[in-house]
Amino acid sequence: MSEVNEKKKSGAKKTSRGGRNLIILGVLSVVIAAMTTGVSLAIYHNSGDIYLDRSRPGFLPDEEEIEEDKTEDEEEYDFAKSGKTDLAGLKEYLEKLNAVVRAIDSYEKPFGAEVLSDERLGIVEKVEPEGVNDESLEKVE
Amino acid sequence: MKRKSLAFYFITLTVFCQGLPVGAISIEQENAIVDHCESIKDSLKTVQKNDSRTRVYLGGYYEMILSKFIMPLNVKMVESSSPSAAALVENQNNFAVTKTTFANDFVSYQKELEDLIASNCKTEPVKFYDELVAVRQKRKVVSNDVVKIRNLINEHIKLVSGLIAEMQK
Repeated sequence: MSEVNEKKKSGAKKTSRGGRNLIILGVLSVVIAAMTTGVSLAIYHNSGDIYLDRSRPGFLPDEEEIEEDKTEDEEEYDFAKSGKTDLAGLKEYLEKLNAVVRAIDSYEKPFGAEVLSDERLGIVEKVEPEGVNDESLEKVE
Repeated sequence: MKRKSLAFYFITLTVFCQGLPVGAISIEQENAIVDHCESIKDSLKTVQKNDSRTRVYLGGYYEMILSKFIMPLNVKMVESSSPSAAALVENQNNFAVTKTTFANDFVSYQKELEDLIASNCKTEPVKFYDELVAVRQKRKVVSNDVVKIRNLINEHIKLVSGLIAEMQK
């Protein structure tokens, strides 16, 4: 009878040890996952890929932009595939290149200074022009 | 005696100026930053979003020009021992280098802009303005890179136009 009890006890001990190992395994998995995720996010941020990722909340393309992209589904030109270094080939090359250049030029003053100016950001207090006061405004109305 | 007093005033003025913050701002500007803090941050976020879009599109176009136009043409020109090959390859190298510089400068600018958006303009308006000045400088660097790349594209077009003109002779 006592042997049976001892066996039961040792069985319970084995189970508890197994359970503890399972918990350790679970905790370790979570720690490793958290560490690798942290490293991935750090690389994602430091490499600058985050600034090109337009699937982030707040950076999603507008509906108009999506519509524009749909209409630009023309087959892309590749000189390696179809280009020839004869006169006609080079003329076609320039024509296709100029089309891309026009698309680039459609961005007026990319990264221009105006958008960060004091006036645009509202850092300069609006100064009312001289002679304009409430009375004159009332008269205009 | 006059010289000594002049030198004294000059040194005092220099020391005083060194103590001032980089982008010294007026009290009106300081108040405006505190009052419009939220709207300024909203504007900066909009700038950040638009810049991200511009960067993605311009970067795509630059990559397309390099990989689908310039490089394959230059390979064929080198293979055929064209007299313009050396100039075309030099232009290609400059283009690739400037494209990489543009990408790096953009990341640097965006990091600075991100820090600016995260900074507290209500409690530290002067520090905020100094950071804004730094962001403007970084933005100017990116803008200059775009101009450089555009000039290199023009140079490439001139070289190819020269080739066409020679063929037509």
